[in-house]
Amino acid sequence: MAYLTRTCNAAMRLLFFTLLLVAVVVSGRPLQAQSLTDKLKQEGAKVLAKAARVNGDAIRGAILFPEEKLGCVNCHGSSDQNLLGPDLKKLGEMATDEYLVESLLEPSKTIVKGFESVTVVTADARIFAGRIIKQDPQGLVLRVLGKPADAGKGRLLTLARADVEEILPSKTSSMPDNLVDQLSNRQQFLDLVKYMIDLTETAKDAGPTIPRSAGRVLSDDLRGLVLLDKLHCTTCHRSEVPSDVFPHKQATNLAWASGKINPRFIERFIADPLHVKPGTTMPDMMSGLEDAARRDASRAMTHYVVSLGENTFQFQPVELESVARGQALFHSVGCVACHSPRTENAMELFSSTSVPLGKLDHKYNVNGLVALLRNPHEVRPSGRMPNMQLTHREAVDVASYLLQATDTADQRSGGFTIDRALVEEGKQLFQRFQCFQCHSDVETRRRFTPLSRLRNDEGCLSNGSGNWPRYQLDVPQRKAIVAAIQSEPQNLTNGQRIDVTLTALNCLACHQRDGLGGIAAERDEYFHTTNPNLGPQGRIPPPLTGVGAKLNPKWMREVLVSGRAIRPYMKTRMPQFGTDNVVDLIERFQRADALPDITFGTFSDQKEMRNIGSELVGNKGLNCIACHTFQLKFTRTMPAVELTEMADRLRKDWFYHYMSSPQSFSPGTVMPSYWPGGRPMRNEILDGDPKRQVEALWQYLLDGRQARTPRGLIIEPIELTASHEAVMLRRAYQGIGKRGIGVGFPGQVNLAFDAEQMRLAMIWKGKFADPGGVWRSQGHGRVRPLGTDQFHFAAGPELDDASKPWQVDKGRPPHHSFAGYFLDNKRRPTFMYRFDNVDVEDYSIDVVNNATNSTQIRRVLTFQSKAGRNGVIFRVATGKTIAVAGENSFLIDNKLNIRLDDNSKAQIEDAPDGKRLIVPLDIPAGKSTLVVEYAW
Amino acid sequence: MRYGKFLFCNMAQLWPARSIGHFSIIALLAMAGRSAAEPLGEYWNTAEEEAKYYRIVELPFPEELALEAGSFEVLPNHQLAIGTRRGEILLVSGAFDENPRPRFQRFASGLDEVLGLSYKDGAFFVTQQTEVTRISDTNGDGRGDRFTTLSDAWGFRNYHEFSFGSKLDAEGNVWVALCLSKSYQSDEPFRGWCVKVTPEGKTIPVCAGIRSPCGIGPNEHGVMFYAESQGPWNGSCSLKVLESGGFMGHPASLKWYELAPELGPEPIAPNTRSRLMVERKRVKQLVPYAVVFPYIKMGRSISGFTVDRSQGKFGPFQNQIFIGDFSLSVVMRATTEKVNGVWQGACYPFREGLATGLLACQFTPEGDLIVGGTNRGWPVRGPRAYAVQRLDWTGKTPFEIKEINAQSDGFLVTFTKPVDRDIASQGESYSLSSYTHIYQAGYGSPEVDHTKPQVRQATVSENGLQVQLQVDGLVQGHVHEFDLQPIRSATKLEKLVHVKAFYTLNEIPTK
Repeated sequence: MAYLTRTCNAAMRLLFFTLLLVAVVVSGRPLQAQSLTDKLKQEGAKVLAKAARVNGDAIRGAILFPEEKLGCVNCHGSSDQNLLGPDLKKLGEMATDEYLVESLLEPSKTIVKGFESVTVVTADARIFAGRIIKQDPQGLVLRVLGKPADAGKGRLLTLARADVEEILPSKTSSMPDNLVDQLSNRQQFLDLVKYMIDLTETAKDAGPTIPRSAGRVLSDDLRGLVLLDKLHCTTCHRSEVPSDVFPHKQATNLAWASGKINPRFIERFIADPLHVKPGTTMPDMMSGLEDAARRDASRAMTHYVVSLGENTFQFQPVELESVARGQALFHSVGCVACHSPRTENAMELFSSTSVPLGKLDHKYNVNGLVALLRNPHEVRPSGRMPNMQLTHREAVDVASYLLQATDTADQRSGGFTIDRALVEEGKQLFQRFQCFQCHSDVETRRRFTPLSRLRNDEGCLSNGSGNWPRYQLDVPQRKAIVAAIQSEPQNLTNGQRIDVTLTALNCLACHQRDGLGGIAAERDEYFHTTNPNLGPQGRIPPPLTGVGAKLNPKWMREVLVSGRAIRPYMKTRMPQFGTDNVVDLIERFQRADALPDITFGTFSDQKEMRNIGSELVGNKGLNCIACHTFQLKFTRTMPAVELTEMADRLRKDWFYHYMSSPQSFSPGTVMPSYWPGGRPMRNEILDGDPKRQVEALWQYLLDGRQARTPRGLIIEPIELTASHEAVMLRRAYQGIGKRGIGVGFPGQVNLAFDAEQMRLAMIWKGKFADPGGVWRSQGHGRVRPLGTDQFHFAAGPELDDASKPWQVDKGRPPHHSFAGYFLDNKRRPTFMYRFDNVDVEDYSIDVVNNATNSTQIRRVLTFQSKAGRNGVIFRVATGKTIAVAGENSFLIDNKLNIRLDDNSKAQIEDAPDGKRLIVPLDIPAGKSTLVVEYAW
Repeated sequence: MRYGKFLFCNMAQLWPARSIGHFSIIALLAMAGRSAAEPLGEYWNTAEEEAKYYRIVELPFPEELALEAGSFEVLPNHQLAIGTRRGEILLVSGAFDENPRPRFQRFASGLDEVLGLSYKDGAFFVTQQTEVTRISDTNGDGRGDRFTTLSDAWGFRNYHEFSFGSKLDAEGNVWVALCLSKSYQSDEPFRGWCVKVTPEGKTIPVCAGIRSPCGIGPNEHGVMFYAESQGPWNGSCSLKVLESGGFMGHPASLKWYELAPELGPEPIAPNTRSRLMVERKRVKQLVPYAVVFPYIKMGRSISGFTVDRSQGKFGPFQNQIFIGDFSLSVVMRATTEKVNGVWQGACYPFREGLATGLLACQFTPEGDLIVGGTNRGWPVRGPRAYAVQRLDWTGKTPFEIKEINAQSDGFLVTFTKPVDRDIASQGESYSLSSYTHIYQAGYGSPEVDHTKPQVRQATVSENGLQVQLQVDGLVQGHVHEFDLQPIRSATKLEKLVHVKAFYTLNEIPTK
């Protein structure tokens, strides 16, 4: 009975859910206008497939494919086998052009086997729609479509069999029906289809792909080798392992702890390391001791350890806002690749498969943990805890997050005072318990039984207690160690040495190499990107397979040693492991990896090739800039790897191989093949010869940051606009030499003053200016007025001797000198200059004309002269026509209305090209003014 | 700052001098992008080691600030002032904190390439393209409101006519180095000159012969110098002394001598494809280039410089010159001395791996070195469009060549730590080579006239810090390049962080 009720209940809910879904879908569709999907369906798959072949542009299609609104890569990305939809490259022969068109327009018509969706109803009546990834008697794993926020590809859901009420096969695809409506037009549809055609064809025609084996695991003996080092076995037991097989792990620098690690923690840790920090690599050295003796010994040893430094440990408060930022950082920059992610309640989610942190809040104070995060190699020189390149602030945030639960009981318990007697005793105990074997210089070490003569089931290798370091080894660990002891590590191949190093430093937590390692499925969601359009490549650290054949050794060194990063969109950071620990990898990778020989495209004129390369990179060629940044500027959808660094980073032969088949190197890439099946997509360039086209690209990229800006790179305009205050910019303006001074007024009128000729040079309305011409490149351009209604005034100083001819060139007038400007309360300038014996102040403001309700410029010129100056002329304007428009009011070229104050007597006179408006002046001793208003 | 080599050739062929108008701007635009596929040059590969002694601290700022630092000044209230290429003066609080979280406020904007910034008695003295300006805040709202032009005596018609201003000298003057027109001709008055602007606004011509400066200020002895870039009449970048009436080597600007009658007769023009040593004897006003920075080895476009007056807060190099490089994003050191009445000296690698093209540097009151700039317009190794960074001494003393001085029979080499006596007393531990450049109208020069001077005897001082080198084959007028690879410190046998140094031997001291 109970069973029935439950089922009914679930069925009811399913019905409700379905109805709801239908309602949403129905109401979501426009009732009148025909959708793009409907229009395309009417054309038929055959017509569309043909049109796509002929008119589709695969490059534009490649850009559409990962766009968020479509979300194709969420389900058809190919880096992961367990997505909702099939990998398009694995469709094989079934992927005819028409099939691709149909799958877009009618997703449910043909569903690829294995990709059918199901609806799962759980015992507690929850409903999930998705695809079954794995099913066994224990339960099932379901891929459910998720919000884009879920790292773009939904969740993997594990359901126990007992919780599953019912599994209902679905007749419809989980791909939405009207997805195509997200496209703007038919052409975009054709572009998308063309790209998919290329994608499937490239896969069919793909030549020899780079061999890789999936799911490779390290053999027992190699894993054992790493363990022998990690657990410091070889510091006591002589081994045959050559010292340069992989970077040796050293114990921590004890003196560092002073002031940073709580002495009470040290005491507890020494007394019982295996329980205080489960998973620690420090063995219990006192397993043979009774509890009381153990406590006394660890107390004394703590006093000794603390005495090595000079600082006193104090708790420090944690800032709450810091905690929130730290939580975000901890879960995004890469900490959780090795350590366990945590719930809101600070519970570790994957503690059994993570590098343990122990109770950090019992151990460090904020400064201590910050010091560790900022410079981990100071205390742990072997790089197992790498430097995550956190800034000081970020380190404070992460430390605050990890220490937020700082135990107040410990804080209350008072300080720690060093007892000299205990220090001495502790030092002796250090000796007695062989602590110095690890925590000291190599010379002082005692030698015990060589590794090769150890018994497999005694001492450290047993789980018993006794006069030996006690580790908590599990069965596989013990098996691996035994295998390592019995192996001959001195004969390791170069490839094995790489594997061992990558394992020891846990590079494999993020990177995969030849099927070894890579991100664990449950941690995938912690790898984020700033730009989901890049697909998996935007968030998953690149594989190291073949990396030696890909990267120049110099670049690899930059990355490994100098922290150079080329993927700003990837939130996970490439950590620094310390030069000595990784530097060998560079040469080893180079030695291990090789590519098939390839011949390069030939050319005779390098300069011409570079120019062609530039064309290809631009939007009229292969449009590389559609996805890749150029000088860190990106055009549209995504900021893929910087173009100007390519030639610095990459080996030329790798570039050739990659360009011919991007997907065979980066299975998840959204980059299309530009020569699908060996055929060029741009036939008209270099006779369509793929090799010469690639060579042209390479020659262009060789210019690095000096490469010519490719065509089509859209540079965001810079806009300078006035708000409540005036804005100014000194620089070249049209018609002015280099000594222009532009002023944008709050009232949306603008002027440019010429500080070389002392004149108003131009006025305009609307927005002030785009300084791009002078703020970009070397600055050779001009400031561009942004607004409208420009009016230019003639060259030559406005105020001059009446007897002199009107200066018409742009030369510097000999009797004028600029003296600067001062600003009023709206930061509007009053320009100052001197002509002969007259000091001039020239002050313009924006005023609203109440009659016309438009803003105009009112200009007050103030003359100051001790003796006065007769025979001066003020040149107001020139024009083809100048008409009298009223009393002291004139219309210039039917555009500009100029009005002078009542005391000024303006005259119109003939000029070579038309008319001039002038005001003859006898400037009196003392102060006098001239007012000019400009309305246009 | 200058055009690439190839651009110049094209320009010269296509347009005669002085006829470049609007038309040429288009040509410049088209060519600017195409200039030179020349590689920027090798790294010193010493960054990892350098980082142990001098760490790079970021002064973060929001991207939208687009901060293209062109000059720095420290204010009495412990703020940092930054003059920018985009014509702003920004006041920064918290820039000197150990972990800086700087706060910015805009003091002035709308200026034209602020490449010189000084502060005295409540006013900024600003060198911009057009003029030297005194800027003050008269209403106390924290923003400049009075902009007084002290001098705009020079012609300015081409954007490449950059003006670099010194900090105020003891008399309150600003010294301005004026780049040539397009960095090749002198189309306007005083292009290629240094002028001195007094606090009253008087403009005094100092000397002609400048090509493309990128930094001006006193050397460690308080004498005004400027940084010159490689190009015509300059085989390599160099620091030169600005002597009144001196000739800095590029003849294009000599035509304006009529505007400076107080400097006496115009120098005769130097011969091209010659040597500086030879022309020095013909052209009596020609001032030998004091410290030559061999191209690529020691930067490609040396820029702003300053003297460490921190009295040891910045490590062992007090009273030495620190100078940045725009192209290679490195900081170098230099020392100068006057020998037989002529300035000369040496340069030394210091720190590489800065984030952008360096234009200016400034010591903080705490004795850290602020550097910054932009990578706009010319090829730059530093990958970021703009950055302000700080070099902080970690407190550890690097084992370095501290200084090299000329002696009558060789050189005195001073180290930062005592040297291993056995190694340091062997002549073979010092590898010397000498060379000079062609003094010519063409762009730059290869290193020529190579010789191999030999260290006959090396005498280590009592304290182990100095070694007296007796050298056979000193060549007057040559750069002497030192390679001290084998030298080790006395304790721990440390290697030198940098094994190279370059001494420009204009004069050999008389006994």
